[in-house]
Amino acid sequence: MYRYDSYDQALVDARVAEFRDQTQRHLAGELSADEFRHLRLRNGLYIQRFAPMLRVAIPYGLLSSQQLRMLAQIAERYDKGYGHFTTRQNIQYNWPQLKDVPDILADLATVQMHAIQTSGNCIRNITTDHLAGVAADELCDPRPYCELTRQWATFHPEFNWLPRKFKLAFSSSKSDRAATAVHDIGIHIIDSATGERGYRVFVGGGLGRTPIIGQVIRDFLPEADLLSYCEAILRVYNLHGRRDNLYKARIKITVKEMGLAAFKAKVEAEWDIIKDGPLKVSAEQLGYFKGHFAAPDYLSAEQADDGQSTVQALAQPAFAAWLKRNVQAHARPGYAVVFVSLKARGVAPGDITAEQMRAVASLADTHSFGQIRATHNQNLVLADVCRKDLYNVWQALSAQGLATPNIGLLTDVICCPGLDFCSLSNASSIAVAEEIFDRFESLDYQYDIGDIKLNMSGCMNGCGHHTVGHIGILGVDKKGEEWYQLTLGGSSGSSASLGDRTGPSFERSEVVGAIETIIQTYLDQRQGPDEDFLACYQRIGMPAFKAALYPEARA
Amino acid sequence: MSTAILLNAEGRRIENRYPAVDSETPILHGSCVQVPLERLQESVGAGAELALLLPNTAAIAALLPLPAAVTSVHLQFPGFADGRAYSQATLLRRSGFAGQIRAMGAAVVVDQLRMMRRCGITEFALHHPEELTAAETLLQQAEVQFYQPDSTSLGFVLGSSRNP
Repeated sequence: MYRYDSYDQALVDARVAEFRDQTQRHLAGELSADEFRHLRLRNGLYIQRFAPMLRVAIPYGLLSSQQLRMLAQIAERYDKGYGHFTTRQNIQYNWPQLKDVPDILADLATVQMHAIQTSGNCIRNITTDHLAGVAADELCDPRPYCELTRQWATFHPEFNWLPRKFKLAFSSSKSDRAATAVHDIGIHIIDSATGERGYRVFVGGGLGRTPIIGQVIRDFLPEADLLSYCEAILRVYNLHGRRDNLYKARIKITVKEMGLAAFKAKVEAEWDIIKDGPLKVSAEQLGYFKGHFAAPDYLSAEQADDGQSTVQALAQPAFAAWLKRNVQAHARPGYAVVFVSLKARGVAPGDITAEQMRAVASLADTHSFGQIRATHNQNLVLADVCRKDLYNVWQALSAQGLATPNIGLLTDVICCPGLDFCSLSNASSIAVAEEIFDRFESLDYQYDIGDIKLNMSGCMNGCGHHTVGHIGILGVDKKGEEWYQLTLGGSSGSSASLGDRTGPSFERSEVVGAIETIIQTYLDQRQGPDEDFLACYQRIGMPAFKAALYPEARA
Repeated sequence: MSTAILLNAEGRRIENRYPAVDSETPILHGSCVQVPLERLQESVGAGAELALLLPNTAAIAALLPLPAAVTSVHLQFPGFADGRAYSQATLLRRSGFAGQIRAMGAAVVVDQLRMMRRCGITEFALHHPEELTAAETLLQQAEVQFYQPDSTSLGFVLGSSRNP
């Protein structure tokens, strides 16, 4: 894990002081609301529907137990005792008071955390695979590259006032678990045909009103050129991105309007000038970052696994169910990846209490080298658990309501905060998620349905990633009422795709029934339990689903 | 604009050496004026010392190399959120331009001065005159070291760059 030294700390401390001064000036009437808005956004602070919302950065989703404890403390001291993990691996607090935010940032700084550039038209949190470092299918750990890029992006003086927000994601596995295809820049770490390490660079992906899958701007970029190439892209975007229309200001629109070839020509012309400059990444530089992510002191397979978890599973079906859904393979024998499900019945997806945070921090200390990851599906991960400890970990998580065995199932929804918190929302997405949970409560039913991604957004901004859900639910406002548009067949993985609309939208009272109809259609039409929802949809398309959802239309 | 408070990168008050001229005013030999892009050629020909006033949509590459008569470039920050001139300043410095670069407009406020300076801007036309003291203090303070290389000669601390 990257640990700050005095240089990193000095930057964060300076920003704490700067924002404290800006807040004081604003509260004293010396700094206008408009100017303060731009500044507070760049410190993660939204003024929202009922209260300010503070978004805290969790660089590429990695947390130490000490940091998680501080997040718990902040939840208790300044908020209503809980936090919310987001689709970009950050955490949000929904109820801080504006006057307390400088103190919150100061507290965060004591554990090497901050809210820098988590909002506003600047470069946002760099995200990656929640299995980074432990995935059997990864080429290499993407996190050193994430940290390198994070430093390049943080307080970059030229790119703080972009046309619109800018999001980067890294993946180094065949299976893209970081949704890189829907990022402004998506970076795949790869080896060339000749075995040279480098990147495939995607540009112009994004969700929201005009969802677009990113295009390859560079098939192979040598390892040393990562930062200069990103700089070239950002510079072209900063100069040429639209500033006249907020809805056309993302880089995905710039690429679309200019055409990829013309955009690429500008980027490459700029990059050609700067590539051998100070942004060139030396071997020493890479070594510095890789050194912060060395593998922990793993036990041998015999020490890590006593084979007892299989026996325990036979005796306890609930443990067996959890093993099946919430525990995934680790690259090292004897170890396992444990998912902490934040999708329990009656709880808003992604929410976690201070007490739960502390419990997870303790488990991390005892069982996972003191580290926790946040996933972009709004769950947590303990990445390095000895298989011999799985039973104890399960019991501890169960006691905290963190062991719902639904990872990857229907109730493992990605869901935006919705009407309850967000002034942009058309829909009470959390209430719909709860109703789905109730309707599909039976775990046996969920297992039968199998792997499926249900994503829900309360408005077209798509914070719940609905357009890349296997089933997507979008809240829309129709004559002042809550209606829901459904899409099928989206995917944020390696063959990314945008969902297709089923047809007319559904009333609030009908939407969960419509989901049930879709699921039943899938179960009827699938070639067998091994054909999951997405595969089935890709095979049969929309007709059967449409017919089932809108029976009157056939008359 | 001639009444704007001007500070240099060290936080000291300076005078405006380049009065603006409208499109009609003849440019006199040996004078020192601010001219828009449309009058650049004419002004160089007239033998004046120039500050070149650029819109923030101007492509820097097309203007290079700048005539020697241009000793200052005035860039525009028309709105708080419009950061195009940060890139213009960066490109100017990269080209080797060694004259003054002045920031003008609504975004030239104390909270943006540090980043402007890091992009190679050396003069600030303060948009809020009441910020003068705060701006002077801020610009005179010792600066932290930032992660990424910029258009100043301060060392940067990205990764191993922090170790000499």
